Parts: sequence; C-alpha cells; structure tokens
Amino acid sequence: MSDAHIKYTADGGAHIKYMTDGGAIINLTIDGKAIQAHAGQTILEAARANGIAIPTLCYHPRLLPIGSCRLCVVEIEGAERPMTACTTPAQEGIVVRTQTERLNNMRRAALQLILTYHPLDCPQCDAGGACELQDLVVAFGIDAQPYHAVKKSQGQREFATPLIRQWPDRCVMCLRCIRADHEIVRTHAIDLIGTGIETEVGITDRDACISCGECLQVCPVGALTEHVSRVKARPWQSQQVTTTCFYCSLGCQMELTCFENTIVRVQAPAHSGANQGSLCRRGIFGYDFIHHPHRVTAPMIKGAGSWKRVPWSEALAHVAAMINKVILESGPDAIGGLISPRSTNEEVFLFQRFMREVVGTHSIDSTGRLCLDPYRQALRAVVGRDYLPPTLDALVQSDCIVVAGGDLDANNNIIAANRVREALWRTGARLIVLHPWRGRLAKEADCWFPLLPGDEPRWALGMIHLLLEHHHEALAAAQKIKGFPELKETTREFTLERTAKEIGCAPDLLTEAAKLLAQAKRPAFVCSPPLGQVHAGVDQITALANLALLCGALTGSGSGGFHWVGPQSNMVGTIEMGASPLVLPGYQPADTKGLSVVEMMQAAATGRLKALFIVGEDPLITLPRRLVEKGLASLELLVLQDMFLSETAERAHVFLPSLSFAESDGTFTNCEGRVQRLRRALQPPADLRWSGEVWADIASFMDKEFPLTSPAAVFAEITQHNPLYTGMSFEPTTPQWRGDGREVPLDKAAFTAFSAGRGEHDKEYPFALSLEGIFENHLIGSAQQQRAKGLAHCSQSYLAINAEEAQTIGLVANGRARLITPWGETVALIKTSPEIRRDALIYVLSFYDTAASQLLGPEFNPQTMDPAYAGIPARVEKV
Amino acid sequence: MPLKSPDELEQLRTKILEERKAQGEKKGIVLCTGTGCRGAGASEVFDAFKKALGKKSAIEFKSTCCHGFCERGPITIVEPLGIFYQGVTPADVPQIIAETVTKGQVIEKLLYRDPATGQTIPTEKAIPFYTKQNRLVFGNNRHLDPTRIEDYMAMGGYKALVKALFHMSPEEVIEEIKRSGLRGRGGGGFPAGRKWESCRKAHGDIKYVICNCDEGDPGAYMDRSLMEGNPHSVLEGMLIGAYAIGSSEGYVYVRNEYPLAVENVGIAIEQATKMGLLGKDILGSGFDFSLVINKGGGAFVAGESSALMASIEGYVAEPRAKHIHMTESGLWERPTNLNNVETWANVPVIIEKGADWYASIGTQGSKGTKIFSLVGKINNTGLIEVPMGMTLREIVYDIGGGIPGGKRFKAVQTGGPSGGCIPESLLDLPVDFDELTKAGSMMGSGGMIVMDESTCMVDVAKYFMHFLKDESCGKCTSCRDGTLRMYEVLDAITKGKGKEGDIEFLEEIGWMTAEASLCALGGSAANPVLSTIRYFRDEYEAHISAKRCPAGVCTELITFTIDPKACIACGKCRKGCPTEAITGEKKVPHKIVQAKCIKCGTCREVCPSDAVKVA
Repeated sequence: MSDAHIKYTADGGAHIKYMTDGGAIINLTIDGKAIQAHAGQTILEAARANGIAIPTLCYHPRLLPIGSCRLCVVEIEGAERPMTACTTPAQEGIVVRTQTERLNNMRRAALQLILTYHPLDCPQCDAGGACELQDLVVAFGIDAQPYHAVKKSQGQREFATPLIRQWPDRCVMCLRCIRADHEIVRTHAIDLIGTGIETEVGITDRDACISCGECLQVCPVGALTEHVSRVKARPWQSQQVTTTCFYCSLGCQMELTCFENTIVRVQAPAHSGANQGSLCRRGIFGYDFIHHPHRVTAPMIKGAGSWKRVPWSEALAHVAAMINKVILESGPDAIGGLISPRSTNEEVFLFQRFMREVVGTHSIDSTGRLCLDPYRQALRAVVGRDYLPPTLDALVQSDCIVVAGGDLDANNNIIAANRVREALWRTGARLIVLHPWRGRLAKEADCWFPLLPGDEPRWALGMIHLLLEHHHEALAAAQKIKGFPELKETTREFTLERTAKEIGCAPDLLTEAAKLLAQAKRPAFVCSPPLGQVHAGVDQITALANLALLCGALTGSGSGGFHWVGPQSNMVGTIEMGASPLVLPGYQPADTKGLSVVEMMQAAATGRLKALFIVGEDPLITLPRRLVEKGLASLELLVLQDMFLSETAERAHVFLPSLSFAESDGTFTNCEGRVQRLRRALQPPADLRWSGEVWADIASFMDKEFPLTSPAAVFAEITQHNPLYTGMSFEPTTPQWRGDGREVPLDKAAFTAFSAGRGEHDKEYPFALSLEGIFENHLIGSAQQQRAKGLAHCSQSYLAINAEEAQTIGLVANGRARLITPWGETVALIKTSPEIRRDALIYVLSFYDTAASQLLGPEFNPQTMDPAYAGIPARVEKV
Repeated sequence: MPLKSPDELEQLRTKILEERKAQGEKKGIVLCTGTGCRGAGASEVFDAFKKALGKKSAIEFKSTCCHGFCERGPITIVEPLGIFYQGVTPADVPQIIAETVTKGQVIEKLLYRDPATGQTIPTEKAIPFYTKQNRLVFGNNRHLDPTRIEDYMAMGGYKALVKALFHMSPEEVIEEIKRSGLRGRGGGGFPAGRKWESCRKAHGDIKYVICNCDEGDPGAYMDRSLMEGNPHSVLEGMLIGAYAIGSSEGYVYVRNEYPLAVENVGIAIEQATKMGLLGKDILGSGFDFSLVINKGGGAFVAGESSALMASIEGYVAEPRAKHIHMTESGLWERPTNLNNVETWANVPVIIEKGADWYASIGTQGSKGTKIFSLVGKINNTGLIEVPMGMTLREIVYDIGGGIPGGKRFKAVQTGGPSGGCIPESLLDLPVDFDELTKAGSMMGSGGMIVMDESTCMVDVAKYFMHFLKDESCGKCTSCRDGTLRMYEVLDAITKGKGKEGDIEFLEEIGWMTAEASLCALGGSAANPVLSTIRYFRDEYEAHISAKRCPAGVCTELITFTIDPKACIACGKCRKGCPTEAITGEKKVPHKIVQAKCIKCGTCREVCPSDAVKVA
C-alpha cells in the first residue's frame, strides 16, 4: 500500500477513515470483474461504485467504518482470514471474492446471531418495512434461526433526549448512533456501556445531548424511534416529499413522511443540500406545530375587541376598503408592509410588487434584512458585491476557520458548526473563535478570544497589524489591492500590546492566531448574527472582511470563503426579492427610499403611518417592544397574515390565515445561494389559500390590476426580472445556484476604513448583553400556546453568566435572575460557566421567548436601521 | 546527580561492587515477598524478620519479588549457602536466625521434600523445580530488591544500553534483535525485530514505544512478577527499543490491579530518571527518552494492542481493524511499537550476550526461553522459565512434579482463556509457538493449566467461555453473540439438556466466531471449545447422549452414593453435609438421601476411606 495516496485519521483510537481525495487509479479484481478504484477507497466503496453489492449493517457512508457486524466479509487472495470490505483499503492487483459459500455461511450465521435476541415485534416497530435488518433477513432467505435464548425484555425508555425513545432489545450493535454522535456532532452524549453481551448503547452525558437526532437518522432498525408524532405509518402507506427546511438560512434538505395528511417523521435525504444528511433538532423534531389545534383556518375581523370568523370575500373586501381609505386620506406612503424572511421567494416577490405597485408605498421591510444588511453593506464596501455566497463545502476544505458572531451550536446553525468540525478533524483545519463564551465549538478551537460584542474591529486591527509586521511575505497578493497603504497606516498603532490590552486577551494568543492565519492556504470566516447588530454593526463586519481580504479568504472559489449564516430560511431570498426599503429585486437601488421597519413603527407612533400589512412577522417579540407597542397601538389598520394568533395578532384588526411551509410550493435561497424547492407535502386545511391568491383578491377589491398566478409562474417571472435568477428552473434536476458567481476580482476589492471604537461601560450597567436566537420565533406562534411540543421540552431560554460573577451577585446555577437593561427587564433562567468573560452576558433565546424584546433599546444603527441586539448595557440582580 | 557518560556509569558500578566486596561474603536472608508468597503470608514473615534483626544487624536482609516457586511460599533463602526454606511462618523466624544464619545449621522441617524420592533437599540449586529451568530473564528476580537500582547495577544492569547507544547504530540493534529470532511474548509471537524495523521505517517525527503490562489472563502472572521484581530490565529493554526505533516517548500500560507493579515501576522510573538513564541526552549520547505510566481500567480486551492504545488515548478500550499496522499509525495516529513486559525484558539479554548465543536456545521457529505460569492440578505451582521446545511432559512431570494425589494427567490448557486443551497423547509435544498452534491451542501469554482425571472437559470449556463472553468488548457480532451462544449450549450440555447436533453446532459457531472476528480475542475465543471437542469428543457425547459426566463434575448429571463396604461410619461426611442429607450412626454405614443432596461434593472431600462414589 502506498502511503502517499492514503490519508487516514483516527478518532477515539477506534476508527480509521480513508479519504478519497482523488488518489491514483488502481486496478483490482472483484468477483472476476476487473475494476478501477481510487487509491484510498475501501474495497466496499470500490465494489459499490462498480455495482457490486456487499451486504452491510454497521457501515454508513457518513461514518468511519468499524467492521463490527462482520457482514461485509470478503475473501482476498493470499489473505488467511476473510477481511471486512468496509475497513480494508482497495489495493493494486488484489483479487477479491464477495460471494462464496464460506462467506455467505458466515454472513448467515452472523445474522442469525443478531436475530437471537432481536424481538420479532416488527408489526409494532416503527421501522417495520424500512428496516435494514428485515431487508437482510429477506435477502439471505432466513426463515428460522437455530439459537434459542431468552433475554429479559428491556422495553422502551427515554434516550438522551425526551424526543427519542430507545428500544435496547432491537439494537443490533452497529454503533452507528454512537459514531454519529462522536464523529458528526462530537457531543459524546452516548457511548458503549458494559462488555460482552451486556454491552449496550448507553447515555454517558445527558447534558451534552443537543437533540439533533443524528443518532436517530442513522439507526438501521427500530432501536431508536422519534417521539414527536403519535401517528406512525408504514412506508407503503405514506408519501415521502422532499422539501427545504424553513428554520434557518442553511436550507437543509429534508424528507417529510406524510400519512393521512399528517407529518409523521422528518429525515434528511443522503448527500443532498448543505446538510448532507444531517438535521438539527428544529428541523427533525420541530414540525408538530403544523397540526396544532390552535391553528387559525379562517379569516377573522376584530370587532368590539373580539375576533369574528368571516368569509374570505368579506375579510379581503374589508382590507381593500381600509387600504383604499388610508391611501385616499393620507397617501400610499402612510402604509407599510413587513414580510417574514421565512416566506418563499415567490411570496416576497409578489408581496413587494403588491405593496409597491398596487398600494404604491416604498415602505417594505423584513427582519431578514436586519440580519443581512450589515453584511451586505460591509461587503459592498470591501468587494463591491451585495452578497457573496461561498459554499459550506468550501468551508469543509478550509485549513483555518475564524468563527465570529453567534454561537453556532447554541443557535440553530448546528449544521454549520458540524461542517466546521468536519474541517477540523477530517482535514486538520485550525480554528479561531471569537465569542465571549467558550461554548462547544470554542472548546475545540486552537484560539478562543473572549471578545465583547463590538470589539471585533479592534481584534481585526490588531491581527492585521501582526500579519503585516511578521508575515509580510505571506500576504504578497493583498498588497496590490486598493487601500492597502491606508490599511497599513491605520493599523500601525494597533500594536500587539495595545490590542491585547484593549480587548482583554493574552498577547501570545494574538500572535498564535496571526500565525495560523498567515500559514493558512484556504482560510475561511463564518459569521452570524448578532454580529452586525451592534450599534456600529457595519464596521464590525467591515473589519473582519478587511482581514479576510488580506489573508485571502475573500478571493473567490479557491478560498474558504467569508460566510454569513443567519437565523431565517429565506434571509437571502427575501432581500434579493426586494423586501427592503433600500433596494429593489436583485439589489437594484430603489429610486425612492421607503421606511425601514423601525422607522415605520416610529412613524406609526407619530401618526404618519396609518396602516401596516404584516406577513408572518411578529415584531412585538423581535423588535424593541416599547417602540412596537406604541406604533401598533396608533395604527388605523393592522392586517396580519399568520398561522397562529401571535403576540402581534392581539393588536391586529384583520387576521388572514396562512399556509405552513409543508403546505407551500415555492423556493428559498439559502446562505450559500442555493435556490431550493419547497414542495407541498400536505393539503392545506379546507378554505386556506395561498398568499398570492389573497393579495390578488385584495387588489381586485381595490380595483387594481394584479395577476392571479401560481408559485411556478411567479418563479418564471422572477427569472426574467431578477438578473441574479436568470435562466433558473422551478423544477431543477441538479442543485441550482443563484447567479453572480463566487469570484471576487481583486481589482474590484478595496480595503475599507472602519471605526474601531467602543464606548465605556456604564457603571449602573456593568455587563454587555447579547441576544442570540431572537429571530427564530416566526411562524410558530406565541408563548401562550403549546406549539412544537416535543421541541419545547428541550428548548429553554437561558442567560449565561460567568460563574464567579453569578456568585458575587448571589445567583445560583439553574436558578432565576432578573435581567435589567435601561429599557426593560425580564426574569431569566441562569446558566453559569467559568468560561464566560466576566463582563459579558449571553441571553440564548429559544422558541417561545417573548420577553427579550423589552430589553432592546430604541436606538438603531443609522446605516442599516438595525436595533442593537448585542452589546446592550445590562445588569443582573437576584429575583 | 545524573550520569553523563558510560564511564560514569561504569565508575558507579565499580563503586557499588567494591563496596559489596569489601563487606565480604555476608550472611544474608532473602525473603520472597512476591504476590504468591504474600498470599501465603510473606508480609507477616517480613515483619517478623525485621523485628528480630533490628536496625543495626550485620545480617543483610533482602526482600525480593517472585522467585517462581509459589506453591511453596513464603520462601526464604539463607545466604551464602543458599539454604532453601519453604512455607516459612513468623514462628520459624527466630529459629532460622539462631540456627541457620548464625550457626549454619539446617532446619530439616523447613526444607523442600522431593515428592518423587521423599528426600529433603537443602539448597535452592538442587531442587528439580529449578534445575530443569533456564532462567535467563526471570532468574534475576531472586537477587534483586526491585526498589534499589544499585542491585540491578551490581548485576550488570544497563550495560546492554551502553552497548546499544555507544557501540551500535539503531539499524544494528534492529538487526541483532532480528537475528536473535525473538518473537513477541504477549501471545501473537510476531518477530520483534521486524516490528521494530517497520516502526523505524514508518514515516513520522514522533514515535512511541509501549510496554503492555495489561496481563489479563486468569492465572497468568509472569509479566506482573517481572514488573514487580525486575522493573529495570523492562526499562532497559524499552530504552534500547526506543533508540532503535527512533522514539523519545514511551508508555508503560499496567493494570491497576497490580498495585505493586505500578509502585515498583514508578520507583524504577524515578531512579533511572535521577541517574540520567531516562530523560534528555541519556549518558551523554544525545538520545532522549521519557516514560509515562498509564494505569489500565480492568478490561480484559485492553490487553489487545489497538484497544490498549485507545485506552491510553482516553477512550473505551475497543480493538480496531489493524490492516494499517500500529507501527505505522498507532497511538495518536503515530507510529507505535508495542511489546509486552517479557519481550522487553529479553532485549537487554540479547544485546549483551549476542543474537547468536540467544538463537542457540530454543527451536527452529521459536528462540530463547519462555516464562509460563504453571497452575492447576500440579504439585509445583509457580512461574517457570524454560527454553522453547521443552516437552510438555518435562514441564509437567520434571518441573511441575506431576499430579497431586497420584491422579492421572488429563490435559493441559495453554495460552490463557482462549487457548486450547492439549491431551495426554500429546505430552511429548515440544512447546513453542508453532507446535502449540498446530495442536489447536496457542502460546498466548504463557498460561498453563494442568488438569487431571477429575476435571470435566465440557465444564472447562464452559468455564472459559463464561469468562470470554463477559470480556468480549461487544463490538463484533461474531464474538459478542458467538461466545454467548457457545456458552449457552455448553451450559445446557453440562446440565443434561444437551441434544443431538449440539457438537456440530458448537463446531460451526466456533468456526464462525474464529473466522469472522476482528481481533485476537474473538479469533481465538473458540479454541477452548474446539480443542476439547477435538480431543475429548467422547466426554461431550457422554454428557449429551448418556446424560453422564465421566469426570463426575457436572452436578446435574451425577449422584453421590456411599459404598457401605468402604464406609467406616466415622460421621465426618454427616457433619460436613450442609443440607443434612446424610443419615447414619456410629458403626452403621452412612447413606445419602438423594432428594436432599445438592451435590456439593463435601462428603467426598472429607471421607477418609474414599467411600463416597460418584456416578
């Protein structure tokens, strides 16, 4: 075996991975057939690639092979004993036999051994009909097994998370769940316990479990079952529909299993989308809200303080009349529109047309823009592009990754965190994390910088200074970029000592990080909110973009990329479809600037804005509460389109029910620029209508022209009007990416000045508070209702605080504390850790948190009109 | 002060030797306080000697670790005559001092009595147990206080290291080990020199050497006794190996159940480090080497090399596929050379005395000596070191002193729990790696359990399968389930529930387990079953067809009766019976009430007239 072509890495001393990165071609013979393989491929991989079937049970393409089930044994000429094909590398000239009597006897015996204790409860097993063991038993024609043994049934029990049940009797000990936990998510919540036949999959660290369901997805039998849906169905009774997850901007591809118009299970199709077979807990378990009895299925008009169900015609005629009235009395600019970044491209495109063309207002916005705009503006300045979508695959190939902004593990960007991990341990990438709390990912980092939100520019200045001073030769390409002399001049004063002192970290750490970045051939940056959502948010990102440009992370497909992952599924598409007061579809500048959402609320409070049409947003829980309350209270007309009566719905005048993502057709654009389909998996409740129809009807009641059309037709229209989407198909057969490419011509790039500053702490508010996950509440309703029920079990908001600080204040871990900002206060569950910066607080928000919005101040970033979601002055008190 | 050159080492050695010479032929007492002797009460004897001799005694009192003759512990040797006393108790101490040490008189009752001749043998050298052995590696235990590096120095310790470091290139060291024919003593029998060579050639800046002292076989304790009794020989071997391979870091993985081994190797490392025999620039040679002790957690399978490395890395001890050899990617994915304690301890001997000399001992394919733990139904239980190729008969009868109670030899089980049973017909089998494998057993780590006619071979197979099913790591289907299924069938057979086809089933599942398992545990797990079927098929058949246990062991297949003609009506069995199942009075032959009998065998054991019969 030639070492040069094989790259292997071991995890836990127990696994070996053969990386097939285009090794040399080798020739071998399998079952008399001469085949070719890449050096480094295993015999199993080579066989399967050539259509030769070898049975397996413990093998999973996403996991490192361990060869424990012994089903894939093959004979290799010259080898004494049979070898497991899944762990044995294919080698030049070997002759392999996969089908001999001896092998099949061994396989049959192994299967029969497994069957000895395996309960034959297939009729009531969730996996019945979709079970790899069943398939193998059928394939080997096993109709009886000779062993008779009785083992005490262990029944079912809660696994590491209440969302998954474990049936130990059914376990075939393939260890896929454990490997998925250790290799993909790296939580180490489960492991093998015991020896011999007593060995079982056990929970070793319940607190470490993040309910990602990775273990559930790889289980070949029914030993792990999902515990959300009460309804279960056999594969032949149900339909599988592949669609796109509606939670975060990664746009994971998911397969909904539907039975009698109910989702009974969610899985990830293999090798598809950015997720490549993984889902996070929201994606895999967060679907039951769709079937919640509180879902509103008819339009309603509020009269005398209570809702009244009305026919669609009455509701829409009423809305049309009210809009016309406002236009007549105050002009179209007295009307605003707000649309959720979890709406489809087609919906956003139609809605902005409706607002701009039918209503005639320029005031249209989305909270998706709040997340994206700081990044867009920073990038605009540094590389002259509005959005740059590197792929997560580029991230995996990176050799040095900087993670800034939110904690990818605490938020719903776990898939991105997993791709970072993939780079870390498959290719040995180095990791630099900027976050005040040393979370899971930061613990795996080479350098962890506990920065306060807003300190990133100083960090970047210090890093640039170090790079220019000590690693000049590595940055040759960057010196030709416009603005280089100015950059050099600006960073001159940010010496190692000064930077270290100002951001509060050890100088050695900065030196080390600079070294890692200088050595990197494919550096990558992964940023996410609340980065960009401090008062000087654009500067924050510009600073990092300058550093990225300097060390080559921003130069296109050869680099690791400058990634932006956000909390909403169609954050990118929403802006690219024109849900912004600043830009039209395709980032074309608007002639007249409309009002941003914050400005709309201010205008409503002063009476300048009279009507607001909200689609799927819940501003009361995502924007400064007092501002929104005041604004909403003064409106003449508040139309709300949603699935549930949200917090905001209580202030609305008209409520229009909307479709869930599983009932919708359309497209989302993910953070990589993939344009992916949502497919209708469920028939909507009777009488529920697609938004496009709703707006067309309103338009006709207003006596305006607006086409009644379908999602497919709207997408066709988008491809004609939006230059980024030219030539795309609604039903593509291969992944499709929105245009604009990923290359950054260096002559278009420019190092851009940014402010380094940050204010002093207020003595009364000694902490800097960041809110993480505030935009994750859309479309699933308010706190008063039970929604994604299973998920609620394991999603709790909490305030993370330094353990010593907590002690000084007199707080106990897992107790409660009062969190106070100059604008409001709330009581929060406390989590303490010694590895949080002492003057930082992180409020990690889960699904249902409605109280956080009152902590937000009324000030906002004048460039992006973003309220500050991080760096908020705060203090904590005992309850 | 660390020694900075080979000359300084020699000067120190000369100094130690001269000091000892100056004291002349000193009267001395050597007490074995190894594990076996401790079990027999050596700690109390030690205290008694200490007390009796006081602090200022001119008599040198030395406590060593295992000498091997554990059956006769606690063992005391009185120097300079080498008088050998066995089964010494604290009460004997004053007499030993007063008579033997002081006056040179031999105490007859403490001497070893040869069971064959009935004669007492006064000196250690003349005892047949020792005379037939060739104690290259293990013999020094008897002369060493393991906590004193000076003792090791005085015996020429670290001379081999000097020779390797200053007079041989790493390649020459490897060549020497290759030429010596040394094979791994941990069980696999892989040629050590070839392993070293491939590790040396493996690509990588950092390489590791590991000493495997995770001796898990029940009844085996040779590694333990070496590590306890002569840790410096292991360290010296590792140093030479590390130099040859190009490694500067090593691990000693030792079972936590061996507290004395942990302690003594710890002391040895500390002393060697202080003297500059470990650490940076050893003896001024430029060669660096440091050692870390890693304590094992108790899993049997952790002794498997890949599982052991997983354990050092902090993971569950679970074997992994090894088609990429450990010598290329082992501990922390770096080239790693692992050998067991005994292998390492052989290295200084080979380097010092030369490969040709070493290769002159042993057989064609197995060179040198091997330490065995000889246990079971044998007169001289203990650790023995014999040249490869000695026959089983010599081991059992000449060294082991035959079977106690005049019973008939039945089989010897070699190689630990997954070894096989070798029958009487193969007693003239020369013991080496290849012959044992051919006979359906293996060398393993060197366990030898002797069985006599009262041993049921089905029960033996069941016993080992019980051990193995618990100690399988649970990873591979074939081993995890296969061992259990075999155990269950064996259990049924011993309980009279055996049925036609069980033997064939055991053969089939045994074959499958051996063929399909990943590591050596599963690969050899079927040996106890397959070898007993091979040599004692009739016993299996008796259990299954006739529901009879020929050895009278399997309680559910036997009945105890009292032969009225032989019974002397002493009442011993009646008193001993835990269930009051025996009736009878004085002068009236006793009877066993079968309904009450639990077949514990107590009556048979206590009967002075052999009147209790088993059928």
